[in-house]
Amino acid sequence: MSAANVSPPPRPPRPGVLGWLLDSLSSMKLTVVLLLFFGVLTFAGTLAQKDEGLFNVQRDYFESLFVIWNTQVPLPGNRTLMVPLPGGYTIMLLLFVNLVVGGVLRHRWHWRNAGILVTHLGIGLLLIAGFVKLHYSYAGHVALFEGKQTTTMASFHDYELALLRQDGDSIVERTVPGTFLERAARKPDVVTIDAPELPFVVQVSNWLENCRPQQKGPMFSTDMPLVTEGDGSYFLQDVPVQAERERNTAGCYVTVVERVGRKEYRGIVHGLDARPFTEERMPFTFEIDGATWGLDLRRVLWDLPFRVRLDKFEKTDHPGTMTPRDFSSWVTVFDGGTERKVHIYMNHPLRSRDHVFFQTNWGPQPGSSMRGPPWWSVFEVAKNPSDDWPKYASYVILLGLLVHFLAKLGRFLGSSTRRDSLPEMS
Amino acid sequence: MRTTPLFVLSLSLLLSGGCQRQTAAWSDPHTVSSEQRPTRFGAPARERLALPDLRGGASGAAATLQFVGQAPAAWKELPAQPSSFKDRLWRIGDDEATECYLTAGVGGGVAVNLNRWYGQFGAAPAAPESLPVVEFAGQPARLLELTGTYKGKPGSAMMLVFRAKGDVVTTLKFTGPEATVTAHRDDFLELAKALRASSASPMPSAPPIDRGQQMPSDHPPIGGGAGGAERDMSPPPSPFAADVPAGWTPVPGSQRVLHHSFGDGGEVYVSQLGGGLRAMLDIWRGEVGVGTASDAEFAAVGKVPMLGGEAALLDVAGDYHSMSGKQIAGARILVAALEQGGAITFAKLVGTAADVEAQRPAFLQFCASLRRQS
Repeated sequence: MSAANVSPPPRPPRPGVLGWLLDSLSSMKLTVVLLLFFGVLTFAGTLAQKDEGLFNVQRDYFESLFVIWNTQVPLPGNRTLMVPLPGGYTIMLLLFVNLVVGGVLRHRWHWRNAGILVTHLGIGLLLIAGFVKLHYSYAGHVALFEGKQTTTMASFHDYELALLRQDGDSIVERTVPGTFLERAARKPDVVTIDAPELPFVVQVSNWLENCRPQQKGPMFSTDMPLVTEGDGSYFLQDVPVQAERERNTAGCYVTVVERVGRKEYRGIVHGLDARPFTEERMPFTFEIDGATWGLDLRRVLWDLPFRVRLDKFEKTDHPGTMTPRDFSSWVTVFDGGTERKVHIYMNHPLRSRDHVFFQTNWGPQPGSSMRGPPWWSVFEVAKNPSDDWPKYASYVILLGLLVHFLAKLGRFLGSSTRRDSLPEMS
Repeated sequence: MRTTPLFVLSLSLLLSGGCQRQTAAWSDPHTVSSEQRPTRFGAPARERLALPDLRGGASGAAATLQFVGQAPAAWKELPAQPSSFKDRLWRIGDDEATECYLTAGVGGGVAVNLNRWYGQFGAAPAAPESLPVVEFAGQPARLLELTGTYKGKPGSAMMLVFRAKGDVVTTLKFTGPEATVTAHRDDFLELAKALRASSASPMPSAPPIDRGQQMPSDHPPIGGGAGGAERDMSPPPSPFAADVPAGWTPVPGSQRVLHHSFGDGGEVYVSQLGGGLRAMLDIWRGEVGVGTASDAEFAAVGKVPMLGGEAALLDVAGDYHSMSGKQIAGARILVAALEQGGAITFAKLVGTAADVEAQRPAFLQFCASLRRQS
């Protein structure tokens, strides 16, 4: 065996607790264990999607520190086997540390390892992109009929309670995230929302994740509070929560209490979203000191930095079926006095001002109570600062692997092993 | 781009009455244009909550039905209390302990209401099939009779006849001291039998009565009390009223306003929707398989007077597939749609092509007579 094929002796363990910690975090065994956990987590999350829905599984399995996996395996006593697993957040965090510490400490800083180090850098960038996306991005949707335009996008899943004040042609709005109210304002808890400059406080109670408003009649009995508005009494009727979170419509009770006089205005707000038919909202309205105020429970809204209009939607079905073969949209982007025509279709999103529009859906769908045309088109819109980072990370990984491969090839071609194995020329 | 709303959670947990009270703060104020946030302040609760503008949610147009018929002479009719779902109200003479009222078509379904009725007497509910059948407003109905303590008064009794279509239940309920109720049992059953929806006649063999139709001079008074005085025939609260042409029959149990049927499966009703006029016209065109209107077709849409404005009149034909699944081969639809106040108010008539052709003049008159009610 030639000297070139002799493996370097294993690095001796570093002394002390810090050394043990560094050795552990840079260990290849840790990498393997983490990847195995990732495999199990992916398996468990995939199974759980059936009962818990995509959104909940993504949140509970892949964006969490840990998760208790209900395997549905029956146990005595009418129980099922529950398995604790590290969440995706924990695994990826440890994987990142393992990658960085391992790359820095385990690999020798030598030009021969340059490819490996660059590859590690690319994978690290990929993980950082995921971290940035999780914490600093948001996503929603835009749904438009042909000829209609919008400057807002709405969340698929999350609500916000908006306090609106009419101010001429403008609306002054303040919001509180529904994710907080969802936790804190469930019956019998009450959340008081306050701002010193306002002449009132707002109390939120009886939050229901999925509900429908009902008018109280003699044929109904309910243990929910009744609210009288106009000539009727209304209440929110609890409805079983759907696994697909976007199919739920939240609602809650609001009580506005004037600071002076303690006069109360009680109402219910319901987060029904009528897009694409209308973007108009009808808030629970009250007047204090001559000003008109409104409270609206709505899907979280984000303003787009441009206006987008759906010019045309096109769908092609497989012959003899109502199953679409492909569907795409032509839109016009109005941005600062300029117009841009864009064709959005599968894997060809619209990118503009850090926003990405993906063609995701359309309507009316077959089997629904409506038939097209006219059609409406639905775009998933993401605002993600790290949108392009995975692409760059892929380039870096490619570069690292290429360098590593070429270095290996060069060493092989120049090695004595190869020279020794070549047939002698006569 | 608006910043993520900042809210401050209080860590002070005020335990009061067993519930947890937390505080939060609004995000900083943020000004947007009305175009960005199309908002309609002050919308009525029903509209705001997307409830049908009719009582009881599922009560439907049945709630707009008038019931006519005379009570026994000893019974005294009182003013109706529609807001309390008492569409007609009587008592026995001046006995305030008795009450009999008609509730015309409200939602809830039979099972839920049976529980409630039995519960009012502290009794366990029985299956509706076990209850005797009686005649109520010209149709079979079930009779429920209970005695015991009612609203804290022992020795009470209740007679109640009910009939249901889907979840929509129409009832006639009679309560009072047990002795009084028992003594007037036959009167109550006679009243249940005598009542008729206003689209029908107190005389089952007579032709239907149209709203506003003049009665013959020798016709018995309709809806009068013991003294036979003419009572208020104005319809219960409804967003719209119109002169309904002869030959249109109200559709009981419908959630739609002024919902009538005619001919061979034809129907006509009034409703409101959000959205743009052109998009809605295209949706209705789609219901008969006619594609999106071209600019020229849209410009050529006729106009008819409705609600003080000029409504677009869509007149298209084809095989009809409604949003609710209704299908009519060889259909024709007429829609008069008026874009007003951010909403589209429309009257829609659909039926076979022959029926629609015959009803077209009546429909246009109906549209012209359409008016809002406060």
